[in-house]
Amino acid sequence: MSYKQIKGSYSFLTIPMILIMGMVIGWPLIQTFIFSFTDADLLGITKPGFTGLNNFLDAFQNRGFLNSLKVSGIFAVVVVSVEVILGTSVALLLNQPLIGSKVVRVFLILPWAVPTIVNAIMWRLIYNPEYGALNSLLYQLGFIDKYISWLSSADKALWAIIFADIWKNFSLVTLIVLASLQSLPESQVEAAKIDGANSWQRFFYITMPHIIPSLQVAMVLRIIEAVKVFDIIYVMTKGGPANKTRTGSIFIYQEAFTNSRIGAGSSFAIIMVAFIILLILVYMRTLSQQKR
Amino acid sequence: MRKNFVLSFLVVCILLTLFASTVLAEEEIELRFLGMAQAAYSEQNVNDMTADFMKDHPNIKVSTEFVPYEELRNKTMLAYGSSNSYDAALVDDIWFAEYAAKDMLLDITADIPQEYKDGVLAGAWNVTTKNGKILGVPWFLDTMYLFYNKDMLSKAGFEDTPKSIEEMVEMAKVLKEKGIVEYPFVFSMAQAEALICVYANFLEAYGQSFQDAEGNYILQDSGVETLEFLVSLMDEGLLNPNSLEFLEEDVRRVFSSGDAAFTLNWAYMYALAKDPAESSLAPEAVGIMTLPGKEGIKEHAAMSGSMGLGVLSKSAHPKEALEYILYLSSKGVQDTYSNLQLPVWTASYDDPQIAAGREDMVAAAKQAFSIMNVRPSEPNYQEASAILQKNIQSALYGDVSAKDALTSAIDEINQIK
Repeated sequence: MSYKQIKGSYSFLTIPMILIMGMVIGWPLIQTFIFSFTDADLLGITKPGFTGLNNFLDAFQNRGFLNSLKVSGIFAVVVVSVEVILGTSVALLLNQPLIGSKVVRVFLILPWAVPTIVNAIMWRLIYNPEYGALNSLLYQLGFIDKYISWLSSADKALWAIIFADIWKNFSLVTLIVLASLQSLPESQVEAAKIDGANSWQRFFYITMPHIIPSLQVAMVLRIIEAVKVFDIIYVMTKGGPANKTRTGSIFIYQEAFTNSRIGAGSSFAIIMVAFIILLILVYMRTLSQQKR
Repeated sequence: MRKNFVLSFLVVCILLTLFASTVLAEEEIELRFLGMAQAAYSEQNVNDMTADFMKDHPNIKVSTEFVPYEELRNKTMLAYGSSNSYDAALVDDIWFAEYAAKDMLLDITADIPQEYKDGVLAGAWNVTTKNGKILGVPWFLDTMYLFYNKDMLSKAGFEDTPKSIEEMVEMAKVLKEKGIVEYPFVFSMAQAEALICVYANFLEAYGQSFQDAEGNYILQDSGVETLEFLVSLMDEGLLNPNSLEFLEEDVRRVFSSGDAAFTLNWAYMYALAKDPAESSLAPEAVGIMTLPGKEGIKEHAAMSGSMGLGVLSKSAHPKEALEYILYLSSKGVQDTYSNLQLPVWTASYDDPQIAAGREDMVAAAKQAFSIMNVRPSEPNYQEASAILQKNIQSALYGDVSAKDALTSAIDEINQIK
């Protein structure tokens, strides 16, 4: 029996998985899409009316939504950029035969393994304006002369959350890049050295092309996560102060569940998904071109 | 023959036992209750009350769930919208109108026992009554009281409590000048309903209101002076700048650590601020009073933060759910658990045992309940409040003037109305 025949005869085993995925992911997605063309309310008290493209047109005139997309954009660009640079740098360092690098690799997983909610609560305590560790550290080092309210400061709150998110997630990029680096044939690097390539040349012409596919995967994962960020912000600031940290996901949550406008909320969600897909396509295309 | 009789008797007994257990099992009723995991009665208190209720009603099993205030409305509504509604829930006074508009609560007007109608404070029924229908049982009446640190005031040479807003601010300035406390005021002003509660209490102290007689929001005129007052406290360094991040529990900790002379908070803070396990203050240093009013406008001000218990109209066991909430708000239960929250029963205030050790709080409550006003009670209040929160914070940050912030807020609110 050929491989194809075996594969075909056992493919029915995937049916339960497809059914479950269809129920828990597919149906809610379809329902969200349907809702986005209606004026449905959360409790379903009144029969939803078809509104055509009105929800979508309104979305692009809604200052709150546009502002939340801007916050999401800033958050995603900064977080993903820093995580990629920092994560790759740390991976390159850990790929060297340094003493203790294996122990560091183990510890590196810890922040990523911590649940986001725990991470958010932990950073809220660290940033606490009355007894937070960060204020204490900076004060004792003489960098500040009085405790700062990081999360209630309109110009610092978003950056404080960005820092907390980077701390948690850059290690994912490190681990993916490190795994890729370890599959880089030593012979290629040795050959380059013999040919007289310096360390920058070896990095740009041998190491970088090798890790780009892995970086693509890491970046796509992180872009999706960063653009739809909800939990860490909801726990740390709930979108405040004065909506300065209200991202698209939090805006959608408030529209759908606090204001009970599930129809409008669904249309905002569809726009967010389109935005994420567009971003991923741009990144993938750019990186593919660089690889060539 | 006798053997057969004994056997038959045994079989009948077994069958009867089986039948009885089946019937009893069928009669076991499960109720789900959603409460609040902060302020007022503690989770432990509510669970203890519930355990006592279940002892008296062995056929009723009540599962309690508690969420922070900020999640309470959304969770109630989400569960109601799904096929798994709660049977009973805690409802804030600002939500009754919205729930009523959505027919979420059972009309229990005809089911309220006469002793409740006669015995519960008359004003409390205003909280749970909408369009002439009683939609819930009052559970607690509350307002934001002015807490003050007696030791600090005494150190600064003040023996009396402030008689007006202006006098309170003057006291705060002296406290700051003398270095007794860096920030005399701390308030819960995070982007949440707590901010509106603080603002609403001062609005009331300034003798102003959210809406005109027709229900139109008029804060762009009526509320500017109040907001300017709060901004001035911030600008003059009298208000802890971290207030913009604080909710009620944060404020309680700051006050209880001796880092503030004045704060606004709900009644539950009184017992905790005096509790050595929760506070570094000497119990006798904790003062409580109703917020003084603006000079020449009014003597005192209080804005309601009361809550009631309602039966969700999708409950499969409305009779038992009503029985449960009536039990929770009964005089006996409320008197027993009055440590953190004063009862809603008129007679309780004449009970020396209830007032023992907290005469000042009971006096403040009596005064507050007699003058208490309410925040707007209308279906879209929650959304209007969110708009106000954002704009008030913008003014407190100095991004825009108080007038511009409130004008912008009212423009936005008018668009959603």
